[in-house]
Amino acid sequence: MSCFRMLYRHRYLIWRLTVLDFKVRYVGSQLGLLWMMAMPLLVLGTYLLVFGKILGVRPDPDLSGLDYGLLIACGLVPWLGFSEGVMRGTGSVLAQRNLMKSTVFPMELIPVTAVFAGLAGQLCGIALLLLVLGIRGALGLHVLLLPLLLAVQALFTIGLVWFLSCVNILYRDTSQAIGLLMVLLMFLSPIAYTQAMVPVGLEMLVQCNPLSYLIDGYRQVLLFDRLPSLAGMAVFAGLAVAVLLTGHRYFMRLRRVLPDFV
Amino acid sequence: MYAIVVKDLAKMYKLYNVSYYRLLDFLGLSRGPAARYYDEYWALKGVTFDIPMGATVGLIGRNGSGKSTLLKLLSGASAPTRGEAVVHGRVAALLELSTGFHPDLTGHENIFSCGLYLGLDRPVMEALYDEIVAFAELGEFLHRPVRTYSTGMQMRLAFSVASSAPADIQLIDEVLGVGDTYFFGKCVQRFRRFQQEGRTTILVSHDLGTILRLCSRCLWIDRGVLVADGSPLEVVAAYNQSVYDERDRHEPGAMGSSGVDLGRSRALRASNAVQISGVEFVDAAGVPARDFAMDTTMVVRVGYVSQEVLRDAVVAVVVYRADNVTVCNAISSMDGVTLELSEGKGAIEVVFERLMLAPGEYTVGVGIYPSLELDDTHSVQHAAIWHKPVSFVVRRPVSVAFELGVVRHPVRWRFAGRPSTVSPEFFEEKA
Repeated sequence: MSCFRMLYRHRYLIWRLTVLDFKVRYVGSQLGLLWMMAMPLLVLGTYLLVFGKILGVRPDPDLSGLDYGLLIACGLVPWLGFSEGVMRGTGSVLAQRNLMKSTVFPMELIPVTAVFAGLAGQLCGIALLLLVLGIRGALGLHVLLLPLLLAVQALFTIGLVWFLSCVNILYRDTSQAIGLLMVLLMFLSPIAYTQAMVPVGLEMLVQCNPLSYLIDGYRQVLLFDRLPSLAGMAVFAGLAVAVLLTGHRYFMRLRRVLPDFV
Repeated sequence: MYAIVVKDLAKMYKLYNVSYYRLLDFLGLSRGPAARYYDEYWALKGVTFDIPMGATVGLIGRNGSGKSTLLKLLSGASAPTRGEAVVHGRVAALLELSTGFHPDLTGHENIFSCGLYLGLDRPVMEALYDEIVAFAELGEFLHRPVRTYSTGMQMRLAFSVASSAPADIQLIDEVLGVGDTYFFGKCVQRFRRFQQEGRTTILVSHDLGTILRLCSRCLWIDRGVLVADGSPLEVVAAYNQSVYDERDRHEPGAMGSSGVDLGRSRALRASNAVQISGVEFVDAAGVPARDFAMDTTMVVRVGYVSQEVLRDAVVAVVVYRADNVTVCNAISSMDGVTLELSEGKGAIEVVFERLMLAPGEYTVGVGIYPSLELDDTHSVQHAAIWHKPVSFVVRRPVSVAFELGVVRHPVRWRFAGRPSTVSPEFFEEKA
């Protein structure tokens, strides 16, 4: 549990570093934060065009185009937050290697910051989604579960990234491989489709992907105003904590020797 | 009370020949009982020393000798392979200064972001802010992106931020040499203040003058081993000697074009024709001494062994102050003296009548050149050069409480007269 204590103790530093990460990313660009919205909107548009119009995919024949769009968005927004966190986080420690060489800065915060910076984009997306859903009057009290979902997602991503950022230092090809894996995972995750649409025989593909539980959770809470499947959430939360603890253990074990390899 | 206690500290780096061996090694997969994934490289091979609180210690050694590795181990940024380094107090490591600088952020923003990396909260940084800004002297550039700064400005800001962090122990790696003379002076001033406040300091520098000027003790590391630990003057001299010897081995006969320059920076080969057997300091009565009062007589006695009669030899004695400043040259030919060195053993004395050197510690370099033409490379090549550490001290007169500079130049005092005799403009008030 020492990693929860550590995260809590450094909460101010994590906050400041995340803000800094943001500032550095958008300083000097004219449109600044608009770029953060551009990515999800672009992907959403492409998904709608390809799956909705060209392939004519519908989870339900009565579903309107807008509803299908919202269904995709509810999966896409958390997915993008996750993949951004993982991709930034994997390279983060290597990118900030100078810190490791010369100071006693708590390096374990660097991947954490990268994950939170990824989540910030997701928060913007969620805000936009809430706006649209609110206008349509589709929002219910279950939305209050969102912070919980976000927290579990953050813990899962942080644990993963603690592990991956170490591996990336030992073996630099990791971040390339992760980039590729993320593209693959994007299509294998139920973003443009739902679990119910997966043909018999292939359900394992979705069931073994922990992200499908997370995406389903967001969808239930945002779109259907329902409690997410408790079994699914329990599996994902348990996995998140396990990944977090293992990642932390691994990072702390390696952090003393990592400076020798950067 | 010790600030730093280092016991048998050793650091081994693993060198992997195949990139994925590194990963396999870390995953704990064995490559078999006999084989290993890596070659060992011992950057430090067991170093032991301790440093009392408040001391300023220089650390010298050639490139790759293990100085930076040692500092990293002391700062805790790297873990030792063997042995231990116990550090009492908060460490500030000024190793790579521009760590954490974001080129697109302004100087102002970078001050605070660097503070984060140093573990200083915003309130702490705000308290330090004025001093940092004043020291960095960026002027209007403070609110411009750091990428627009000159190298010097970046270094000023970086040093200013890095050195402002409160600390009990500071590790400084070769960072004082980056700025111009003015900035160097400021750094030294700040450095002195820290010394007075009782900060323990380890200073790595290739500028031996800086070491001599600032440190009270010096460590010399060579190929991961501590080879000398003592007073800066002795250690620096021994280090210089080793550098000369090394260079002599690599390029026998290499020398500079200017024969008069006996500077430690120039490696000159001791010849077989004439050798210097020893150098000592004696007083007016001819008694060997190390301490001299100003205005008394100091004699440098140079013993030599010559294989042949040298009819027009030139002897040169260079006096260096403890911080490596060349104070004066005595060259026999310039003084119109012809010295004939007999075959065999002999001695020459250089008499400094009424010693004008200011109080302090001095060393000498001595050279004997076989012939008059100092530009003649042959003569220089066969010169005997002596630069082993022998020092003498000039005592401060009891009546004087302040520093006297480098020399006490002989002067005459007189009245210049009234405005009628001196040009009247001289007395006008200048705007």
